[in-house]
Amino acid sequence: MTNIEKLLKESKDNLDRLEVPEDMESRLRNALDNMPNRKIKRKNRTRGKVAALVIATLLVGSNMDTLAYYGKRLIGYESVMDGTLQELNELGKGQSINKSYKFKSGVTVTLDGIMLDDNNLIAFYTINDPKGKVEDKDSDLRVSIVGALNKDYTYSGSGEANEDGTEMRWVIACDAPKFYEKKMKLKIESMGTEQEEGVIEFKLDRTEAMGHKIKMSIYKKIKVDEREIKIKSLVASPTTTIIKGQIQNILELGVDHIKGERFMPENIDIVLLANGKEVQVKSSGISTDMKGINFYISYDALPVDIKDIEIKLVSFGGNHDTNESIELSKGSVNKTIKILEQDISINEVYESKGNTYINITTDENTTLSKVSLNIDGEKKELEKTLPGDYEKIVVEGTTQIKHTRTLEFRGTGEKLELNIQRMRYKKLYDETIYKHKIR
Amino acid sequence: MEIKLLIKQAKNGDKEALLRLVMAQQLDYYKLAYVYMKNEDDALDAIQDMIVIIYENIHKLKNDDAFYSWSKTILVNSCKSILRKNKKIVPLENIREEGTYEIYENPEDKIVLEKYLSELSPKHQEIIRLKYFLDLDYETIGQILKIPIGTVKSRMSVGMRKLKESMGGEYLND
Repeated sequence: MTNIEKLLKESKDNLDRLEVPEDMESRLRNALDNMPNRKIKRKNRTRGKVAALVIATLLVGSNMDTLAYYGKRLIGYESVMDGTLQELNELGKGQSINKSYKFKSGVTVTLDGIMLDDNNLIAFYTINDPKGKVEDKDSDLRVSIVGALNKDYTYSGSGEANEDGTEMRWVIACDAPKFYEKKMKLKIESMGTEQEEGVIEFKLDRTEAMGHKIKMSIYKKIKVDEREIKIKSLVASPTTTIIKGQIQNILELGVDHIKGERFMPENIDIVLLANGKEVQVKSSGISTDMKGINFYISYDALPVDIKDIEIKLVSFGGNHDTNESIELSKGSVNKTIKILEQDISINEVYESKGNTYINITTDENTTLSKVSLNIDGEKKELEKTLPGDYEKIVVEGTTQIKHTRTLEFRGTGEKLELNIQRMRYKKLYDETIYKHKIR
Repeated sequence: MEIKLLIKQAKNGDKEALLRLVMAQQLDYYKLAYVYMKNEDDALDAIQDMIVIIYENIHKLKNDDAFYSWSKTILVNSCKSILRKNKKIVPLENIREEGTYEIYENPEDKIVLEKYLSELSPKHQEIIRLKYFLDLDYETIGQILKIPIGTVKSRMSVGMRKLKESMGGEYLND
């Protein structure tokens, strides 16, 4: 080994002594928690093509002037647009932008047009790669929608590439820009070997905006799990219908934090019925910040002939601080404990190859999200969970699915204490919480 | 097997699954970020940026097996972009004085090495650091930096030659 290599090796040895900071996990979890949830829809290719063909025939056949905004671009987006958007697009409800940025690699991104209403800003863009590797290029691109003061609007969307890989079309939607936004930017960062940042500026033309159809303040409280959820508002615009609500205000959040009984909601399933028919959910999100824990659920647009609206709470699930300890003995235990009204059955505790295993059964929607085992006074984190079985049982006419699996902890000992610090579960409600007749 | 399932869940927007994927290789990520950032705080910042970018883009990942190399490329890019931003506010004359790794107990020798290493061009020093500090092979380095293996090798030999030349003295004969 040369002298330089020796020196380099010493540096490596020092680096090897590094330990991962304890707060890494919680910092990362926080970063993720602060992001709105996103759902991505990718539509079936063939279906998209069929729709495109049908519409192409329609276009040639009848009124060409409705295509004032998208003109020939329209057909390309059919497979990535949902029903409502297609209809609006056909009516020419968008604002044409048609501006491009060309990367040194030869890849071009074109912002073809946008649509704007009270709920959403929807952007239509195309990525072109003459080399035919557009999907790889797309993975290297980070696209963001940026407003005044560099506000980054989070979005979700779907995209699809053509067969020879030269073109990919995306439709993405974000929250409606704040009222003061006039000029916005589509920022595209290339993350590959050649880092490059492209910006396409566009102006919001609010005279083209479509506004809203229905706007309702609801302020309805529902009791859920010893807490109250508030449904605050419903705004139906031509592109989407959004329900907003609050799970905890900042005061309640603070009190729980101090008591060490934090509750981290993860999933709220609310069904919206229009004229008795379920409206499709597009995306949803829960955020925690200075305003408390708030959520939104975005659905497809309401039908034109809307007569009545019904909102139903189906289920609600989250992660709870529990801090429960259970003393265990080895062998067949068959002990059932109740934590936050959820049954946890401990079936068996055994040792194998220097590890301790605990076999448990819970409802399929219940997970012990943070659990450790105290072995003779020494705390051992959960090493891994060995998969088990799902079993259907019928209790009082309703079907329940039970999940049995085995927890593995390193080490063995005489005195065992299972420590459940956090638990995740989902409760079913299926209750109507709001009904409204229109006119 | 489990990793594959987690990637699938993460692609469907499951945050906890993504977190578990990253935590499964936490030390690798942390050391990689540390090699660039040289202190705990900035390294964690970079990893935090990375996980946000992954969350926003994981649905675009075509080959699930490439998750770790893909995410490490993102981490390296996050590190570089933080370094670039930090540089903007550093006065010109200080640019060369990069920090040494915090963990050195007896920093004398290493400061010397670090001094010469940081005088190399960024593309040469990163190859040396990844190869020697993280023990990565040429292929992995190529995957993370998204450059061909031949380029990795040539940067490595040029980098090492320059390092020897600049350190001079006894090292020159290595």
